[in-house]
Amino acid sequence: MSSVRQFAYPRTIEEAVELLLDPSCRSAPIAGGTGAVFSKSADVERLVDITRAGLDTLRVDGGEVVIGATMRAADLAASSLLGNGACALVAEAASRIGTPPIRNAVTLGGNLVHLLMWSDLPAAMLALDAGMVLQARERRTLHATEFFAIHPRRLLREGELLTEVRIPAPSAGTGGAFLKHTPSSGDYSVLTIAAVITEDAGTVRDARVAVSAATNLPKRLHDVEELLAGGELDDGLFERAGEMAGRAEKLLGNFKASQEYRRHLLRSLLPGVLRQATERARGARS
Amino acid sequence: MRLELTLNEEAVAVEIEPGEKLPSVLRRLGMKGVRTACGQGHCGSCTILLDGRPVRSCLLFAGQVAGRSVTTIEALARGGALHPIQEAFLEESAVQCGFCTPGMILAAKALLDGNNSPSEEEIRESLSGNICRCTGYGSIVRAVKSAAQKLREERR
Repeated sequence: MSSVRQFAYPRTIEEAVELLLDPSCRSAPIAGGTGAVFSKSADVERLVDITRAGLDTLRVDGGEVVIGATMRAADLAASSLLGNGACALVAEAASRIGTPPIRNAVTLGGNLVHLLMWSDLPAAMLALDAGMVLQARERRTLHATEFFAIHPRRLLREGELLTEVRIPAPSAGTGGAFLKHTPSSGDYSVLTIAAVITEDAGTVRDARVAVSAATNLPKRLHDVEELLAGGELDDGLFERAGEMAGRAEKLLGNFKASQEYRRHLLRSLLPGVLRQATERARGARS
Repeated sequence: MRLELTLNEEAVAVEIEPGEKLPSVLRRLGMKGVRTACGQGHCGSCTILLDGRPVRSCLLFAGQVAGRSVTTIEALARGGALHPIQEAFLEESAVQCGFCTPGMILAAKALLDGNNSPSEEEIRESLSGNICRCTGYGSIVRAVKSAAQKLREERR
């Protein structure tokens, strides 16, 4: 980014948006910076540091958990506001991002918008059915499924920022689980699974399962969710879900992990993730 | 552009290129303990404390630290006396080539500032972003344990 001529430090979202829309100076937002420092962009003249614009907040609003886009991964990982219910999935996913110094830099919004194949938070957002709030001069909210249908950066309009994520209040008896499979603890994921299950009298009332790191874009496993819905919550069901996912999903392979290996991982690891989500769902009810 | 920050507890103002990364600015200010190795955020040798928390300075534009507090290894020794963590690294021979040491010690400092009796697991987790290619990690972990002990005794 040798083209950068200025830094700006807006104190509000509105001010940040106006700077980004300013036609006289080509601007790009920056927060944690771990993505921006690698940008090859040769035309950005101004970096707009959005970390002072009041977006580093976490609050509960009418039952929804609302997380500001510049909340750092380390703070998400340590937050007690995310509780022990399904939202704990966010803290779990955040605690697995890179290493401690990386978690002190990476922000929620950066991890979602600068989506990399191995980003950890997107699968959690899909499993929690989060709403992604985008703001330029207008404000719009997209479902996580819409947000990740293409690369989020291609979806943002001129001047638009992801300002917050709104996680709907999970109903009683809901639990979540998150699994990231890495060759070593600090390495990039070769398969990430996030699941949220709502249990009702021993059956699945609602299930959302998402994978990432083995697909170009993070995605929900709708077939598996349909198989789970209404099913008796037992190991047989979880095993069938694993078999179905391992058969059906088109996963990517590379030098770190072949397609076959990732399919094997998904088939083997999904049942355990579903079991853990179910145990937590039962815990959340009692 | 002019950058103002608190560097090792002193207010500092410096002229920087807006697109400049933080390590080159800190080294220009004499903080040669900020080592640049991979430049990719993998190795941890450029670790600094930003508002008390360890971060990789190579992943920051200098402009991002405006108005914030940066601590480098140079802040630790006082009046010629080494910091207890530095002493412990010497005593435990946790230093061989020394390139990773400033980052290791700052990561350890951030841990011990908040927790003066960490478990081995907590120490290993806190240092997991810092790579050493000489001594191995056993002596480094021992040094942090020993430093924790020193700090506990100091505060008594």
